[in-house]
Amino acid sequence: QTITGKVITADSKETLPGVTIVVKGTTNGTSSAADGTFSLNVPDLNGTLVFSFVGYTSKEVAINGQTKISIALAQDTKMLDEAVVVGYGTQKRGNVTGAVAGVTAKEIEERPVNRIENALAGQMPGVTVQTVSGEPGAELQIRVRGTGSINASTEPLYVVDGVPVDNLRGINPTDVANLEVLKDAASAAIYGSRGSNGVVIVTTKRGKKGKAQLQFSGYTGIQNLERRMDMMGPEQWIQQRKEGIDEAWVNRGKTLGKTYTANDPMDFRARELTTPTAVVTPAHPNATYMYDPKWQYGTDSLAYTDWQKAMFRQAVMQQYQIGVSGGTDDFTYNVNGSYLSQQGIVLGTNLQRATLRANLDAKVRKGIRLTMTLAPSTEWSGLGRVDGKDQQALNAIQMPPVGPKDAGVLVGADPYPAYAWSGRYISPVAVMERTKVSTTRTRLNANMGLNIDLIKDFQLQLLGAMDNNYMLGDEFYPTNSSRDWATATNEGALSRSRRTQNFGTRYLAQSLLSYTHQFGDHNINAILGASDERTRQDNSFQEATKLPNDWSGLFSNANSVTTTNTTVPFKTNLISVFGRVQYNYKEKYLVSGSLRRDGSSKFGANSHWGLFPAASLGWRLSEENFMKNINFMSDLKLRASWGVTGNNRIPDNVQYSLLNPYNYSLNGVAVTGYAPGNYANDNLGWEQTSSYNAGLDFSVLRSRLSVSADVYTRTTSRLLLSAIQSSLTGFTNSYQNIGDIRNQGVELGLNSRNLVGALTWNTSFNVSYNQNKVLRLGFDDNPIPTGFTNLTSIVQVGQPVNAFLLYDVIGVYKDQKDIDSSPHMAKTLPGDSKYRDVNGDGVIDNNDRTIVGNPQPKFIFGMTNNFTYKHFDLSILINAQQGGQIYSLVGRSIDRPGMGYLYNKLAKWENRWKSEAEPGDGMTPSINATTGAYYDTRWLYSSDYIRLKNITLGYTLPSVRFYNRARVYLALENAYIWDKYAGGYTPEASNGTGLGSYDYGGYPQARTFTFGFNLTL
Amino acid sequence: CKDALDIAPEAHNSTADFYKDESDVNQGVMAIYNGTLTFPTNSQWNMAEMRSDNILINTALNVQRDYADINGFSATSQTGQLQATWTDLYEVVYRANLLLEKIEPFTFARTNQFKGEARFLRALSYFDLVRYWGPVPIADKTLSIQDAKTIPRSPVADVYNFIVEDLKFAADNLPATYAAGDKGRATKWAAKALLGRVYLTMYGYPLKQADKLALAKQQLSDVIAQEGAAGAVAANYPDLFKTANDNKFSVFEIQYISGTGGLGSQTPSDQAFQFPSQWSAFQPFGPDATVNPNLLGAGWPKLDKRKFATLDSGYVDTKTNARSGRTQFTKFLEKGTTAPTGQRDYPNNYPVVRFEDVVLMQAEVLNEEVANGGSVPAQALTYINRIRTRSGLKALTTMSKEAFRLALEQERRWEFAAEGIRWFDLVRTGRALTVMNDFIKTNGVRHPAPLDEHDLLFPIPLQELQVNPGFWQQNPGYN
Repeated sequence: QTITGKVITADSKETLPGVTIVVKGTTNGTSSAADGTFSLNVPDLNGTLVFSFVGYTSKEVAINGQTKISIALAQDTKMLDEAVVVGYGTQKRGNVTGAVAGVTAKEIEERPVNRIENALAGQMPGVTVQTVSGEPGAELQIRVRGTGSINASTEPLYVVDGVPVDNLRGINPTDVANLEVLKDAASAAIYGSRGSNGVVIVTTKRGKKGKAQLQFSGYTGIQNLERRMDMMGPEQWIQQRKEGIDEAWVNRGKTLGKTYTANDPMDFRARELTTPTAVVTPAHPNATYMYDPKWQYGTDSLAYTDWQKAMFRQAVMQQYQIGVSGGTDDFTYNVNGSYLSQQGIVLGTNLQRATLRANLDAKVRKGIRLTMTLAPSTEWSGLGRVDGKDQQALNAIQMPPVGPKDAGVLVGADPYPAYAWSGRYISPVAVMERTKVSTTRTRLNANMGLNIDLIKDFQLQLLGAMDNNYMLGDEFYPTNSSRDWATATNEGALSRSRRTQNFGTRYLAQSLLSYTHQFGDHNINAILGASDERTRQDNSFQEATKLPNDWSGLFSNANSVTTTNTTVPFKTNLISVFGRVQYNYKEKYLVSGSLRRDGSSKFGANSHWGLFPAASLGWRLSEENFMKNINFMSDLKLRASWGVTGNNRIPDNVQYSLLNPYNYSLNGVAVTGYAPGNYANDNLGWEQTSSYNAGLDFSVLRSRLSVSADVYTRTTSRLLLSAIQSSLTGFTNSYQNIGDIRNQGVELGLNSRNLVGALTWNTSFNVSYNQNKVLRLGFDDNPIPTGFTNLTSIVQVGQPVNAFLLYDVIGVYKDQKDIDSSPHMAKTLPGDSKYRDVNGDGVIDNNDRTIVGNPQPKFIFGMTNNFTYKHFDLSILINAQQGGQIYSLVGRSIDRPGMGYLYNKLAKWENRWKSEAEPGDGMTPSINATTGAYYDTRWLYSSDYIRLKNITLGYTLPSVRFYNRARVYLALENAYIWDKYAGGYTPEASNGTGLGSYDYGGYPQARTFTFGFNLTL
Repeated sequence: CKDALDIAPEAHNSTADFYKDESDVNQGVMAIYNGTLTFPTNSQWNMAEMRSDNILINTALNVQRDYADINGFSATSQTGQLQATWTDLYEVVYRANLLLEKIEPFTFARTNQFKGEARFLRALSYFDLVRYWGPVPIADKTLSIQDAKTIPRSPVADVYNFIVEDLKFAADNLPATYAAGDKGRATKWAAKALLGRVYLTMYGYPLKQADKLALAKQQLSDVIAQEGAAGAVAANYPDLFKTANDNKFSVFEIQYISGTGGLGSQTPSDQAFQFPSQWSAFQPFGPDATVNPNLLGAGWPKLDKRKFATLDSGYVDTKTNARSGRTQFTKFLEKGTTAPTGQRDYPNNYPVVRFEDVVLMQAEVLNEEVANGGSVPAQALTYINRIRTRSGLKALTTMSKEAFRLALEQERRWEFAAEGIRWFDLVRTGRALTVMNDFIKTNGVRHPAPLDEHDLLFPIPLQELQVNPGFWQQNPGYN
């Protein structure tokens, strides 16, 4: 039998295509046609039809023998009614007047990420998530609306279930119900002194009343190196090595006053090099001035090693999680346990994590509710040794690709000597395998709250929270992982053992009084709160050398020499009072105002306290009568806000002139000395940001397209900066409140339901533009050099923060004539890099260093496309950035003249300037160029990229009696990247120790292919 | 609430609550000495010795390091070592100034000794500063960030006068000797010997103040008269660099000990490239192929005991049988010592002023007193021959003043090789350009033009210029 009918909208009576119509409890269904009509064959005229359509409230209609059923679907206003978590409370989405963006469990759950922050990349306008290191579990760099700070942390404040925490380490991504980012000051100002960089609010899953549900999920996958670096191959390396040897030979001739030429045969050189004590022959050559006779036999006699292949591996990653949730009227629970095990793609690195989270809610008495969370987690890892200067990611690319046949990938490591035609080194493979680094981090996050309904409209919330972090790090570097193993006097002579213990506690006591009242069309909500937060950090570190052997890193005074033994305690205290009033009239006119006062022990005695006000306005035009007839517009809201926030996240105790021990010895005995270790600044104070935000939210075409747009300007004043100062003060830098920075930008978020019906296609797209500019600096606006050794970047009025200030390379001086006819430096030689004469004065000098870019991208983009068809779903996430630069010091250390011929180089060095006759590609200088000490644009790259960040294909199994829901999926993370960066592994890298953004060889990112499942019983 | 927010750091004192008694002030003095621990590396080796013709960096073997740029006369204002040395020297100046301010309220017995030590070490720093950079800013008190921007570069003569005043005060107030537990502090003789060297430098390039010769003579003869108490010429040259002889021969030494973390010397590691296991458990990190063949080949007789105490021409590792034919400076390495816990932890002191230096300087003074064209005075010959004969060389016989100048130059080169003295000798005697241009030509150092006067100074580190752009002018000839 056939049922026919038509579906229209309840409010505007328009026809509604794409509505899913099924017979309840079966898979028998259809969807409405373009004119809203449908026709469905049913076995009999009993049962119930379910009409559903995204954005509309589903409706069930009993068939009751009818063959014609026409209905009207009402728009689902739930989306606007849904609660958004804001600081110290929730708010209806429709009534939000600030700039808030969020993601929900759905976007997080199926990503193979070990840190929840990773799942934010590309998901929200104005939120930049940068994977600065690909190391498993490494911190990510999150920036909300540009760089507002330089030295003080640019990290947002993290709040988990109402409790501020230092970071999100150890939080299992699948525990999270949703994640909101408060971007504008009006929203963040309620967090006062810590709101400047935005606030990330994490809400974890809580139980719901009902039968106990058992949930089991997991994934397993393989990770690979995302992107290789292009280095010289073995033949190319041998070729340049020969040229270096010939050059050294000719130079030796000059020193000795003999005429040696590059063409001198090896037996001649051997005769010349023979001395009474050492006989040199072509078979027993001198490696400085003669070729290796094995070069002519290639791999028959030598090992050719691709070090990137040797260092990076196919690595397994897996996570399993089990959860139980449910409850009664008086008691609900949600308990989740998870286990993650991840090998790193770099040999010898790994991460394991176990987490437990128990969220319990109980009604104790009428009007009294208890909430509690217990969330212990432990991480075991073997990491480190990879990121940054002189570490193994860098070592892997600069290793010579040629070595002795027997040594293979263990060249330079006990028992194999380094290759005589290269420098002193040890195989990075041996270092990773032989050093023992293990870290255990245990975290206990616990909190308990009481919500008490006092009298009508008044509620009191009391919250106590504790966050304990304990880190134990053991490192053991045995003698056989040192490049000098061969000459060590005994087994443990060069061994080093380290133990780091950090214990951190954070206690929070908070009380909050809230008042909610409705009279007529007036709605009012007010809160008043006070909190006291105390932290204590105890860090201790011991290092011992001269251990008894190569297998035990355990040390005591008896078997080793303790060279470092320090304990550093820190305490901080933050006392706050805060209040907020939200008022609306008919949910049409919305007003909100808040005020917070914070006192922090971090600042100088003269500036403990700060005051943080905020105000915002909203107008829901769509609720106005004159809008009621404009049918295509389903929602329209205008928002405006202003607020002041702060940033206190600088290292502890920097305001004091602390005395450090500077000891000396007299007559062979150590004596104590003390002198200040830093420059004191009593007036060190808050960094403050005042922000304006204006926004517009609307949705059209029956909510098929919804748009949210914001413009903002944030001005950070009294910027905290560890600025350089004259060495005449005794110090080279100190923390100062030094200037003003402005970030201005536009953000656009767009959600569109492109296709509805059997095949659905949704797109969500976001783009943000941010412009960063320094407005004022110090008393005199003098620019402040920053970056690597303060020579690569600058903080200068009118420019973005940490703009790159470098010599701009325009080519290579081909010959003396080229030098004479072009602007040049006093000591320029042919083959040197040619710099642009920026000021046109005919000479190249320091005044020609020029601003050539900055590390902050102008635009960031994210786009997610979701498709569903029957039981299949497909999601594709693309993220991109444009308009920023990255400075490659890893490139510089393997890509600069003066690095000699011993180690490997970027492949482009094949095309270097060799002589006037062989000028190369015109951009790569001579290996002996005199410009190696200058920082120039040869190592500056665009950081633009487009990345196919995630592709997930899922299949939901038809439901049967044994389970409620079952799903399997395949996911590909970091599927592909298009970029312009040749100086390192990834354009997101940032691992420098100084200011500014630069790459000194970071842990590369991985491409991860996973298979996962999700089962609910 | 206020109390809750004033959390004093637990593990540290701060300047506000320190300097309460003599013990505190004494610890402040020790911190100034502590600042000199890095001088042998940052100043004497990486800057002075590296600039001289004792060292030749083979750029084909050495990946680019700052020392290669300094050795090849291509260092720029961006060369990191220059900033490190500048900061290091001014740090000692700052600690000395701070001590001089904090000691003001006190009048205990050692007040003047402490002041003398602070001023001696301040002078030591300025003496290096003025010789590397010429006109340098004089900080004579602790400075705020703002005030520091207003200090101009003082003329070279003013800096020298400032140094002289400090050393005179030190010579007048420092004790002649110390009790055993205080051995290693600067003595009256240390101040006088350094003052003699300062006067001799003022007599030479660039100030060329003729009247300083007599002043130098006075100071040096005061010290020579105290041989035994002020220091001594070591009868056996290699003894000078042994830990067992710390504070025995030299007039002033920087003190090092092993095994305490941070109080050891890294000089042996700075100067060499590779040690066999029987010499040290730790490999050094100095530049590859360092010793200028010209230092060896310039007639340094094999019978000179100093040659083998200064250089090693190779070894066979007794453990691995590895051979090396490299020549390197191992003067400061006590071969086989097991005390160090790392490359930067050798126990032997570093001499700042040796008694031999005082004697040779006095020989130079006496020779300079002679009119041009005259012959060397007998006393000067006696002094130089004392140094020569104890090393196994033949005594020199009479010669012209000019010939004796060169003989002294040669003698000092051998006696003080790797001690950071050669470059300063060449500059003050006006010989630097001749010698170093020859060095550049002979060794094919890549350099576009002959060296000129500007190469006798280093460029001011760029960061220091940028603190207050345009306020200080860069030294001529540099970017």
